[in-house]
This record gives sequence, structure tokens and C-alpha cells, in this order.
Amino acid sequence: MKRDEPASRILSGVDLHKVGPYGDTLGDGLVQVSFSLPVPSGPESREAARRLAVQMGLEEPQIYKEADLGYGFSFWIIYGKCRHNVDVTRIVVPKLEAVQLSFDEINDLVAAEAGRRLRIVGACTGTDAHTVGIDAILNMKGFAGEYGLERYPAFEVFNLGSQVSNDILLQKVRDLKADAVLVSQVVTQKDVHLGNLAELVDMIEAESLRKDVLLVCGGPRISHEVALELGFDAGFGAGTTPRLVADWIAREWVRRKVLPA
Amino acid sequence: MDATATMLPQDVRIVAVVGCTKNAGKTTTLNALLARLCDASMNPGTMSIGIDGEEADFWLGVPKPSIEVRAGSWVATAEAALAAGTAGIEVVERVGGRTLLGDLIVGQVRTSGSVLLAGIRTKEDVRSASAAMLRLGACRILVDGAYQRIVAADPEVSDGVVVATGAILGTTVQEVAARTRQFLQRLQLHATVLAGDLDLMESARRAGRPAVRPDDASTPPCVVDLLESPEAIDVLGGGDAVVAFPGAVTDDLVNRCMASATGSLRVVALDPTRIFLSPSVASVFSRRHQLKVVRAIRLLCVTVNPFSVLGWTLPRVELLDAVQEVAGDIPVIAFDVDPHPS
Repeated sequence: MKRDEPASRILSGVDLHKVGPYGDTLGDGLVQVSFSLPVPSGPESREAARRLAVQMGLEEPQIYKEADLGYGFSFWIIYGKCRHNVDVTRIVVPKLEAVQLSFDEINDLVAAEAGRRLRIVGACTGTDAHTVGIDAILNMKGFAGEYGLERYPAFEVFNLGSQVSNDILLQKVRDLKADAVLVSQVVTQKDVHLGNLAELVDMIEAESLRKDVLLVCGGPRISHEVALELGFDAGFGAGTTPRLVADWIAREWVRRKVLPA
Repeated sequence: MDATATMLPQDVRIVAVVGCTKNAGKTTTLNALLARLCDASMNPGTMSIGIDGEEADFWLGVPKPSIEVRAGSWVATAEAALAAGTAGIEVVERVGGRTLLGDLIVGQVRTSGSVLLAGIRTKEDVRSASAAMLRLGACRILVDGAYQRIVAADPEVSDGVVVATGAILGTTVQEVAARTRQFLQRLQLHATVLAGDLDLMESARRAGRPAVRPDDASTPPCVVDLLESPEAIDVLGGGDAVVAFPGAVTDDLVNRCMASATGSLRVVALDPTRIFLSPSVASVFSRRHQLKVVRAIRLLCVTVNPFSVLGWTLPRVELLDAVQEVAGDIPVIAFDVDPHPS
């Protein structure tokens, strides 16, 4: 829900200070959870599933569906009542402006304001070999019916591929005089990739390049909030399409040129 | 001497709070410092180079301590973040930066409460926000870190550094002490006292490229484009040599220097925040060569948190002793809030 959401879209009677799950009636707290257990379906595992739901904090848990998956596994769908609620009015989430330019508008904006192509360096860094995300954004053929950044006349794209160390990426950023850096990370356990992203930001600061480049990170578990926490300018998560990234880079580059910090 | 005076001596106006890793106890340390400054009637100013003060860790989902600010103190944050806290804050100045959470602002706390610190991302942001808060009346500035980022520890940005460490670093006292030692070693690098090294760094800074020369101050500095250029190889291969890097000192750069070196090397960096050597490369390098900085970091104290948000607790006294041993003369203080009180 947007903070500036029109009042007409807010359900009548909803207390935005105490928003909880909705099932049949306002405030009933009904939720559905599903999970597998590594035990076969049966009376004992049914009780185990129910107790697990209680431990999750669900009141009045009802087993709606159970299935034996074979090989010693069972699957459960449980309904229950969640009594927790959140104060939506206190939630602050970093987000992009709603305006989104078209392919042509992005190219025209960069041509008019920069008078040259913006140089974009992209890589999967550290030990990460999952290039599907960065390729979807950068490769010419693009993703989800949108062209990738390589197709935009506005951009000159250097896709360094996978498992690029931070110091090699830093060298490329410096040598190519990059305007924007896109780092893709499939963030894993033990925060190893988060540390890698944070180190890159400090390295770019150490080279005194920070004010000259837009720093963008992306990946299935990345959000703008993660990005800001790590020192990046923006972070794009699952479902991001190339035009969203192109639009942000073009408009942010122009904004900084017009209104330097 | 009381703990506040130990941690925040009179001549230290801007203090960076950095963590050995995420969830090491930076926020707890920050809160303790803020409270002590307020108790001493010294209105502090605070900011975070990441996001701090959120209700739960965005990654682990575990609850986080809020950041509590008292009336009269100052904050620098993104304008939209003001709605997330309970403190009443009057926006006094805009400091130029803009983020996905709106303009960066400096505000004064009118009614005490919690605050979300967000939006400060760069060294430039820290500088401008610190300058604004000091000008407006803050007595001390506390800059909260993010993850293990140490950019705010740059002596150009802050006057002193408080390091937070804790049980999150390992499941044994020994593991925590060893990883804390690694982190402190970087921050405690000594400043070079040789005029020739400073002169070499000045040449490197002016050119924005590495500078080399034999370890003999009478030879003029040689600025090089590449460490593999004939000029660089002549110097590095000709016996003991000094290399000054004006920016980041990375594994790749150090390995390339060592590949050409025939004698002992002294690598000079601007300050410890520019050094990014992995433990393995640092270990190989230190066997024969030296790392120096132009500006050393003033380490004020180390705070220790025996509780890990991941669910374990280490023995407090043993942990303090072990960290004190690796910290040497630096005061070690326990700031702990049990996240799982019985």
C-alpha cells in the first residue's frame, strides 16, 4: 500500500494502525499456511502439523488438506487465526517514482541531456555464477517483452560476466569511466554476498569514484532497502524488467547532472 | 576516568561506530553513546551510512533495538524516514543529497522517541551532514556503520572510531577473538613517518595513479600507468622499493607488485579504509613486506556483545578478556543487551 494511496482505495472500517490478516470478515485474522513434513501422513504427523501451527502462533488451527507425498513425506495446508497486526502508517519503504519512460523517451532523454551514451558496467561478482538476472537486464534480446540495455542507443554496455572479483570490477569501472555499475548477486546463506556488495561500495569510495557512478545491485533477494543499507543507490529484485532499470539510470543520471549533490 | 570520557575524548568531535560484521552490536553501542552524551548535556548528532533503527533486521527478520533520540539532539536522515519513528523532529536544513526515501535532511529532535536513520550513503554525505549538525549546535557526531563497511572511519571524515564486535562472529570465544584481531589489524595500521613516503603519496595523489621509487628518498617519484610498465618493473625489480597507491589497495594490485619485487616492498595507502586485502594475501605479503598508511585511524575503544542474534551466548568475562588481549592498549567495554532474556 502506498502512503499516498487515494482514500477511495482504502477499505471502509480498516484501522491502518492495526492491520492484520483478512479471511471472511474484517479482523478475523485468518491465514493459510502450507508446508511439508519429513514424515508420512497419519494420525501422529497430523498432530505434529497442528502443533507446529500452534508454535507458529496460529490460534484454532484446522487442517484443511493433507497428502502423503510418498518416500516418507507428507504435505499440509492449515488454516488458523493470526492475532498479530502491524501499523501501516509507520512503514517506510524506499521506492521508485511511478513515472516510467518508454524505450524511445529514455533514449531521447539521454541524448538531450548527456549528448553521449552512458557507460554501464555489469557483472555477477564474487563467487556468484548466476548470470541469468544480469543477462536478462543487459542482453540485447531482453526479458518479458522488453529489450535489454544493450539495445538502447542511450547506453554503452559492458557485461563482464560471472565470478568477477571486486578488484577487477573496480579496475573496469575506473578504466571505462563508467556512469553506472550493475552488480547482480544471488544472496546466499551467511551473508557472504552481502559482504561482497558492501566491500565493493567501500572500494569505489576508496577510489574517490563514488560521486561519479550510479551504483545498482540486483538479485532475487535484493530490494531498494537492502541496496540503501549496503550503500548502493538502488536495488532491483525479482520481476524487474530492463526498462525499469534503464528508466531509473537515465532519470537519476540526469537528475544528478542538473542537481549535483 | 568514566566510560564516556574513555570512548569520547574532548578532542574527538566526529565518531564512527563500525562493526566487525553485521549484527555485531553497532546499534546497541550507538544507543549507549547517545544516552551518555545526553546525560552529560552534550547534544549529539547522529546518522547511519546504511539503514538503522528499523523494527526488524530486514535479512534475518529478528527484532532490532530501536534508536532512541532525546529532545535537543540532532539527526541526519532521509525525509520520508521521519514517519517511521516516534520522535518529533523538526526539519532544519536540507543537506543536498537525494535518495529513494527523499531528500537528506538535518533535523532537531523536539520530542524524544525512536528514529529511523537512512539515506546517508557516501563519504560526501557524511561530511556535509556532520558539518551541518556541528554548525547548528551538535556537540558530537556519531556515525553509525552498516555491515562491516568502514568508509566512515576514514580520518578525513571522522576523528575517531569505536569498533563493535561480538558473539555473532563465531560460536567460540577463540573464533570471535581471532576475527576481531583480523579486523583491528586493518584499522590499526601505522602511519609512515618517512617524509619520502609522504612525498611519494603526494605525487600519486596528484596524478591519480600509483607512484613508485627505490627505498631511497633521494630518488624522485615515478608515477606509472601500469605496475607492469618498464619504469615500474625497473624500480620493483631493482631491490627494496616503495609503492604509493592513491586509491584502493586490493589483492590484485599487491599480487602484481609482489610478482615483480626482488627486494622488500613498502606499500603506502592513504588510510586503512583504502585497504582491501584478503587474509591470505595479507598473510603472504606481511612475511616479507610492509604496509603503511599516510593517515592512521584513532581507535577509541572496542565494544563487545556476548549475545548473538542467531541464538547463542558466549561467556562474558572470557570473551572480554580474549578481545582485550587482541585489542592491546585499546579499551574494551561490554555493551550487551540480551536479545533472549529469560
